[in-house]
Amino acid sequence: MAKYFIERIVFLILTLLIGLTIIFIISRSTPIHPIDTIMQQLSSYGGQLTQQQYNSIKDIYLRLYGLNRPVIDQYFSFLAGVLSGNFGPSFSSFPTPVIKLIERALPWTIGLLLTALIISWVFGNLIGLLAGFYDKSGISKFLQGLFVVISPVPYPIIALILILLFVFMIPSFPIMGGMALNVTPKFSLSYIFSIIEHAFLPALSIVISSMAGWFLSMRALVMNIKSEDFVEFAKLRGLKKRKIVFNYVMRNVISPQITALALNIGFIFNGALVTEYLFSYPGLGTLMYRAIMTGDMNTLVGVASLSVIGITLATFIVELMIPIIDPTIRQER
Amino acid sequence: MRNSFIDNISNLLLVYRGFTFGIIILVVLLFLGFGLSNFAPSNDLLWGMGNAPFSIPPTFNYPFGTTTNGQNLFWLLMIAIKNSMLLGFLTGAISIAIATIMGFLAGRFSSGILGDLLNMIIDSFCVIPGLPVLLVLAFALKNYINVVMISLILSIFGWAWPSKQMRNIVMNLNQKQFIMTSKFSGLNTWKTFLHDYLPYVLPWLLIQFLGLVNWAIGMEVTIAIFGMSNMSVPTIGTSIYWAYTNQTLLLGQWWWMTFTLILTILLMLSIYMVSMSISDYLNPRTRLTRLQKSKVLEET
Amino acid sequence: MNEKVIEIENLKAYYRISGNINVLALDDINLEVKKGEFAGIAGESGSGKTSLLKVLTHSFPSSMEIKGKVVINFRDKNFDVLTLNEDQIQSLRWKAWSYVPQAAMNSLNPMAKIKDIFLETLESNDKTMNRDEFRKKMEDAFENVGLSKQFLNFYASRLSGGMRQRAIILLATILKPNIIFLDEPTTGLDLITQKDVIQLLQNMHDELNSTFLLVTHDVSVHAQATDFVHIMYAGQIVESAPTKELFHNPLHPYTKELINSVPIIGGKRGRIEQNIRISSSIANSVQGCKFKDRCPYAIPSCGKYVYTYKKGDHEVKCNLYES
Repeated sequence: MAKYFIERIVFLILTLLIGLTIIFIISRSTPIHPIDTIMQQLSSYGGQLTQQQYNSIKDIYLRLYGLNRPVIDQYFSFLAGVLSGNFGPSFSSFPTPVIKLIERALPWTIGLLLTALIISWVFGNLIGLLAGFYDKSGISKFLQGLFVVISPVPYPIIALILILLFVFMIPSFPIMGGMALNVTPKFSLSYIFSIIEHAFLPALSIVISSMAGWFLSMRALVMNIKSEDFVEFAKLRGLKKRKIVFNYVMRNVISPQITALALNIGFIFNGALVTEYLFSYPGLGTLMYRAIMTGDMNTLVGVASLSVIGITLATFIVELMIPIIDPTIRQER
Repeated sequence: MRNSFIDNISNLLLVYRGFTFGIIILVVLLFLGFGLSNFAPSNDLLWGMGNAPFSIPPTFNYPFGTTTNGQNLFWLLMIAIKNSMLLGFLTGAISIAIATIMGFLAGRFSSGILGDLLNMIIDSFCVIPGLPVLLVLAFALKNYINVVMISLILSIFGWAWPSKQMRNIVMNLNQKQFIMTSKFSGLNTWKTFLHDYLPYVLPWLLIQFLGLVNWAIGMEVTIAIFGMSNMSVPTIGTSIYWAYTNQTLLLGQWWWMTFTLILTILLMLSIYMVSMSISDYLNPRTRLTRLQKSKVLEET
Repeated sequence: MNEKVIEIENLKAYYRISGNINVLALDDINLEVKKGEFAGIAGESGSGKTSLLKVLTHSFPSSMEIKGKVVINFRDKNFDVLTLNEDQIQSLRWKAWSYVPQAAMNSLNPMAKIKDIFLETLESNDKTMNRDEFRKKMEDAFENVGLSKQFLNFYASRLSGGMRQRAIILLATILKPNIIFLDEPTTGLDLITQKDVIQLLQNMHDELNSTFLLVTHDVSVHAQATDFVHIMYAGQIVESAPTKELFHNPLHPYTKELINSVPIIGGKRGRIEQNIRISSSIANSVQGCKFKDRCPYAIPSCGKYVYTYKKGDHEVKCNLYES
């Protein structure tokens, strides 16, 4: 069991290193001198800067990234900065530090992602379990067909279809923002209702797309397990159906599904980012879009680094849950 | 070998409606994308100003309507199909190549430290959220973005998932008798790969390739929505981008977005059905039902 | 102790495979097992012996069509297994009979502890027994069999194949069911473990006074363990006799070859007279004796009918004994 933990920690560190190093290499290897590019982008997007601001940005950037220092130094100060949440100042909202911008957007993303993740995983697996158990029924086959059609469709396409349906054709949901513009943030029922109203479509979009995957894999798993010898033997011993579903089938399928969850968090996160932007939901996705449009490299790098750190940590946490669910890991062979 | 290939295809066609449906749509789209698109008038080769009236809904002359800048959407979308497919195939090819090598190495040495390390690296690339990193990369390479470049950067993450499957297959094959024989008789790694593993691995490579094509098309859409694709060239992604940022839905001009979405879904669904059918076909557990079905068809 | 605990009359069973194709699995089986007997069924793969067990334990697939009577005696009542519904069968399972399936090592839930598997079996079948009492029973049973009681806390995936086999046999006997069916309990185990398992079965039989029905293609197992043997070929029982009698005086040509094919140290080196390997394609009904095409002693009447010869407990279906 200790072996398992050590492996997970090594994996955590390795993944962080790979991800952050890639980001570092990218942000350092633009062919032209990076500061000039950024200055160019800033002015081409019509940023109004005084000469003084221009100079101080240039200074800060030079210092922050220490472009006159050897690469290794830069690398370590980059890592140190990123792991402590210091991403430097935003270029387009100078001098606001990137971390502040992220702090504003992060709770929205976390809220949306967590909700969508939990709902899609729980319901996807539950319905998949039932559909796998009663695999000959009409509903099971219908759901299989339905989710097979949904599963290859990427997140942004599903989001756009929902927009077409519920914003355009049957205007029932607001199209922009995280909450209505005229509601002040306080813990009132109308505020909460407003949040839900605005988060509903993006959440639905993510849930529909993610649920397909869980349903299909769970159903297939259950259909496989059903025909295993030990399930047959349980029936022969007179065990009740309920016992078989929970102790025999579920126990053997939950573990692979949690492992799958750990590996898929990053993928679902990608989908969440683009979905957020399409619904103008004030999370990291929209922040990223604005950073791109205004040439704000710092924010871009900041969001990317945070994403890598966050998702890797989330994966690590989910992996820690596996020995709880799968007791056979606890006993060494 | 040739006969069994034809046998396999005809089996697939007869027994799997999914395969037939998918292949037909795919062929139609290939024809539209690579054949018909060559007849596009020079006005409609890139996003820009056109000669047609602005934003009119579908008519006989303009079957998909026109854009906000007066271009005939029909031709633009034909070209978009071509470019997206090209991008998909290219990304698929590059990613599969990397995945095969990494997967094979990880599987071949799976019992040692090297194999464990490689496996961790593969998993790392699966876990790292690709989109933000790719956006940073695309942003940094803004001036050099084209179809080939996009394929290359997508491949940085595209290889990871197929690599896992490849590793599993290789690890399964490791246990087969004839491979152990090769190992014991000292056949070197490369030859072992070619002669022993490849024949088994090829059908799965095809399925993974098709999956990658879909993934690449989807990722191109995603980065295009963020404005990081080759924005003047028609692709499915850039079409969605322009339709979205020109507020066409808000203005009630449903045709741009709708036709793009329809074509996208047709393309991705058809590729998916083809790959699912092949995967089902290879699955030994469904063999019996398949044989029964094809027997029934033979007798009628 | 001469009452019959199993009585099968005119049992026919076949598998339906797509459309009109049927494969005959059991062709007119008539079988009796007396209370307390250790009976055996021998035959090659394809002879129908597993199908017979599936019918007896009511675990046959829905593609199987069955005709005939299969009567099991339990607590002085006779039950025709084929006429009962699922609930009734469920109430009989593990009390009227228990079943050790083929490749039993795959039959334990890899995610459950051994003791939990035993406890859940108890809970499902005997509501009266005290749990602590049962725990003691489990530990004793394990010790008796030479398995340390610490194994009870192991997850099933951790035990070796042989240990799992023994655990399953214990599972099948611990609630003292009336009949214990076993399908190839020794196949796949090394010879020493096989001997242990056979010994275990014999001990259990002596202790419990239950009726055992053991199905295996391994003739030497029958020689060691059983009181009475039935030989199956192509879905029929071709010979039945008390074990000693059968090995002393095999009557049916197939039985003779089966017994002769057991390798003996110091035995004669001879060529096998004929290739008597069965192919399952002769499953469907043919006229006369199904063995005639491979029988070195076939006579013309073998193609028309089959004569049943009976002498005491020894019964054989062979025209050679028509007189």
